[in-house]
Amino acid sequence: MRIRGRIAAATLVVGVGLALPAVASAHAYLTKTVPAASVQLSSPPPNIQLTYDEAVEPRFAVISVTDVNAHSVTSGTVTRSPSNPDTLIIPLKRIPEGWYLVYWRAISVDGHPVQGAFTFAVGPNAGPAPQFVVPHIAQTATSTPLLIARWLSFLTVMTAIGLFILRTLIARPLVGRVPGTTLRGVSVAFFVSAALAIVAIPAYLEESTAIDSLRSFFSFGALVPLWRTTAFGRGWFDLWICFLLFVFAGAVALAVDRPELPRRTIASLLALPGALAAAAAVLVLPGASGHAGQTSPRGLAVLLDWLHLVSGSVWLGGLIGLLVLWRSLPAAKRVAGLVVCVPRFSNVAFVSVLVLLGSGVWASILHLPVLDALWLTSYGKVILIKAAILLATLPLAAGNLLRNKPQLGRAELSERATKRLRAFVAGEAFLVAGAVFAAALLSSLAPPPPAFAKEGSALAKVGPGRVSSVSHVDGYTLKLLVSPNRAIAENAFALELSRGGKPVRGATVTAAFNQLDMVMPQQEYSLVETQPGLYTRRAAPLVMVGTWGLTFDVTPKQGTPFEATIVDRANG
Amino acid sequence: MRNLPPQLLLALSFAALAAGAVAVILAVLILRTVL
Repeated sequence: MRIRGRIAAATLVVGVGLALPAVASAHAYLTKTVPAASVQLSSPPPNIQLTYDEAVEPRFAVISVTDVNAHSVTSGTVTRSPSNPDTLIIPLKRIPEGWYLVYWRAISVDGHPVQGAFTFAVGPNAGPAPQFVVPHIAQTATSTPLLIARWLSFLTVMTAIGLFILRTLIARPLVGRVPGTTLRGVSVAFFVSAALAIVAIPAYLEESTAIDSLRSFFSFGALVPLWRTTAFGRGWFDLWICFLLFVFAGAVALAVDRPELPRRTIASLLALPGALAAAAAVLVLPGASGHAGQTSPRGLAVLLDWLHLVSGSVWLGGLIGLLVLWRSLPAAKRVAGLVVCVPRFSNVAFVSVLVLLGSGVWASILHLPVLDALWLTSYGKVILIKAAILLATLPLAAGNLLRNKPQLGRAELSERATKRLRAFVAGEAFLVAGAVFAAALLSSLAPPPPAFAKEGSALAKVGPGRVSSVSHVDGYTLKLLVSPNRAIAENAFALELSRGGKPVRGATVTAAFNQLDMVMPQQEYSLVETQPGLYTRRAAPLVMVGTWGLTFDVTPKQGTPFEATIVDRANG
Repeated sequence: MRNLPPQLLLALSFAALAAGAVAVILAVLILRTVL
């Protein structure tokens, strides 16, 4: 018995351990509010306390408390509770009787803004709950300048690393094999893209911090100290430091390199691994501070993200490097030079593209809860666009690999082959840069939450506006009524249950509410039978505008329990 | 660069190797907070 107990306890511990990462949320969510949502207080509260599941930064948080006339009733700024770092507090003026709207916006550890709202009343004669207008702040952090800064950061970092790899590992034998050639053009291109990245990364960090704390890009004095306050900011700041280290090590490696000698020098053998290690470290950081670091299983997600970035960098930087070589080689040496470099790059690029596609597909499977999410969510749609761009590059890549590369070696075809090669490589580089833009957009969108899977199993999709919908499950007829079906307001939920035209009495009915647009905790209410077969409840579980999954768990007096999910869209 | 004394080139190369090691340590520290 004792052993059994231990086994049961061990199983429980392992079970909880396995389950925890799966429910680990990507975004900060409210776990508790004081006062509670929809509550009627007898006396005015001195402040509003919002407790999250993680420590959110008060300097990036907005909490507005307004009365029915949209007048603010707060008397100070948001601070962190001294007793609990996960709790934010905002003081209130002494408020009269009536209803109040609390609207909050915070920044999650991965840099995504999350928001919500709830109401409470100060009584005893607060009256019926009024309809509040919810303030509008864009839900995602994606503004055009931010997106462009993110894209440029990715593009320049990946290009610099790819050019460095092409220069030191792939194209290097050119100098020894074709006398009179140098790789100076590729080195210069490396320094140019590195210099651009050194500017682009802090510009991106500054713009992102400006948006999060609702300040201007140019208020450097206020924003620079905030760069490292979120895990996202720390990740990108460390990426910048690692990139600077990479550029230093890379510059030394290029300076001490003697490609004309048959063997690498000792100095080169020291500096090159340093630079490559720094490059590898740089490419870990976007994943570690982004979605991959928040997606379970995290180790695998971060590894896939890293492989994706490494292979993407080798491909993109290599393509741009080939174009630079084409231009920088003297016309008389061009064909001979490309005959050395192109086959070597083709082999590496072939493997890179396979790794890129494999890691991309696998990561998409990790990020999307169901296949539907691929075409139903904006996150999924961007994945499709990115995949389409990459697929469009494949005919060009195949043309280079199967046609242009073999023809380079044949004297009579070489001239034409190099021209076609340049056109194909330019087209490929352009498309890959487009795919990097899609990647920048993708990583700034929130992946669909696990609850999104409920959308696929829904019996019906209803709303916005008053709901009256009939569906059938296992011989039962369910009529759902939601009135007025508005977010951040009390709604009446009623489920009319019948079988063969007769009301089903005495069943146990619970309703679970899941927000489908972002990760939030599930709310559960039990419904009370107010008339034969009619189960009702008044509550305010729809705490924000958006798509909600309403799952009714019905246990009839006789017969087997069943579940019915209806997807409801609620507007403010 | 080519005219620099070999000792200096070697010292620079060691510095480059150290820079790589520091970058890797930074990345590992960030990874440890995530994983």
